[in-house]
Order: sequence, then structure tokens, then C-alpha cells
Amino acid sequence: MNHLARQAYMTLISRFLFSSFRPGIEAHRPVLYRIAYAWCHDAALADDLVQEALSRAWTRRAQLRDEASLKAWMVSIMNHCWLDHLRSRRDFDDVEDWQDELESGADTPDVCCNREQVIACVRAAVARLPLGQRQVLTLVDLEEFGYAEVAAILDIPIGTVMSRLSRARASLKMMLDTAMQQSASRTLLRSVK
Amino acid sequence: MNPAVSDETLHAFVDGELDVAESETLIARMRTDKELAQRVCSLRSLQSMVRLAYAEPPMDGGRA
Repeated sequence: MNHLARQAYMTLISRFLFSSFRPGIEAHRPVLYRIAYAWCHDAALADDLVQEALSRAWTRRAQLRDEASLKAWMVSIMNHCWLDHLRSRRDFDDVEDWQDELESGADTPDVCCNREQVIACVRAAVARLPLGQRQVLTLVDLEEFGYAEVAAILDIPIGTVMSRLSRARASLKMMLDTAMQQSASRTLLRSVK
Repeated sequence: MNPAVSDETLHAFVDGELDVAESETLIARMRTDKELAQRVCSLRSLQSMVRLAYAEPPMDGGRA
């Protein structure tokens, strides 16, 4: 048997042996990708994070105590992948204080008129939130994790989850309101001309 | 006059974190308190905008 055939054969065997778990992990790929993208707003990086999280989850599958918490467990693994990625780029101590390049470099939310513009506008606003707030907001809003689950996933106190969420939504609302007003006044200007 | 409802409580309400009794109290109050209803409405619309923004995240087209 040549090398490739052997590899294919082994893959087949392991698929058979762990058939109930492997598809369980793989099934979470879209969920993980959505979260990763909402955290980093970079498709290639999000892809890498998901890949890394899936492979770590697979290696550590024995550590999962409760099948029902598989999704939260995988997101928490991906959070570690994300933190490792950030640490590898520069020194930082606290996610909350840490302002990543996205925040300073992202365009300010621009005019929100049609669907595509609203989407771009909201993404730009979310990208400008401090990382810690962005993580909490996306886990609660996109995946409907409970506050206690988010606290466990990110390994922070539940009070911190609530305060970050509050601040995140307040700044998001302010950024979007400003963008809407600009949009409205531009439309008004155009109609006056 | 009831005390003002905190932002945290409203967030907990829209996120389904309040228990049934607390939720019902808040819903009853919203019927008469237009401003409170407006705050909940604006939170819900913010939430649906965030969901819309990431409903179809762009895929990395550059790689296989």
C-alpha cells in the first residue's frame, strides 16, 4: 500500500471509530467561522482560527465532559487560538484594554441606506469596539449564548460579561445613530440641491 | 412612580436572562411606559442589525 492509500485508509478507520464525534465537531464549522469573522473581520485569519480550533478540539476530545456543551467548549478553544494569535503578534495583558489594529484602522461607519450598506456599516462599528466588548456582544447576539455561558467561554466573571455588553451596545448604538444622521443629512442636502 | 429601569436589566430582558416573573413585570410596565417600550424596541433593532451583519460572513475566496 502506498503512502497516500494508507493515509486514506487510516482516515477511513478513524472516521469509523469516532464517527459520532468527528461530524459533531465539523458541524460547528459555520458557527465558529461566523464568530471568528465577527472577532477579526478578516476572512483568511478567520479560516485559520477555525481550522486551528477544530484541530485542537479533535486532539483534546477526551477533555469534553458533556456532549451538550460541545458548541460552547469549541468556542472557548477558539478563544484561546485567537488569544494565542494576538500574543504572537505583540505583547498585551488584558483583552479589555487592548485596542487592536482594527479599532484604530477601521473606517468610521459610513452612510447606512440599503441592506449592503447597513451590513458594512454595522461591521465597521463592531470592528471599532474594544476586543473584549466585541467578543461578548457577538457571542450573545449572534449565537444567543447565555451570560453564564459567555462567562465560562471567555473565562471572565459574569458581571464583566454584563458590563462589557452594556458598553458595547451603548457605543454601537451611538456609532450607528451618528452614521444614520449623516446619511439623513446627506440625503436632505441632495434633495435641496 | 416606579424607579427607572437600568440598561443592564433591559439587556437581560432582551437576551432572555430574566426569570418569568421579572419579564412579566417589565412587559406590563412597557404597556403604559412608552419610553421604556421605545428603549426595548431600539435594543431589539440593534440586535437584529448585528445578526444581519454576520448572517452571511464573507468567505476567504483567495484560498482553497
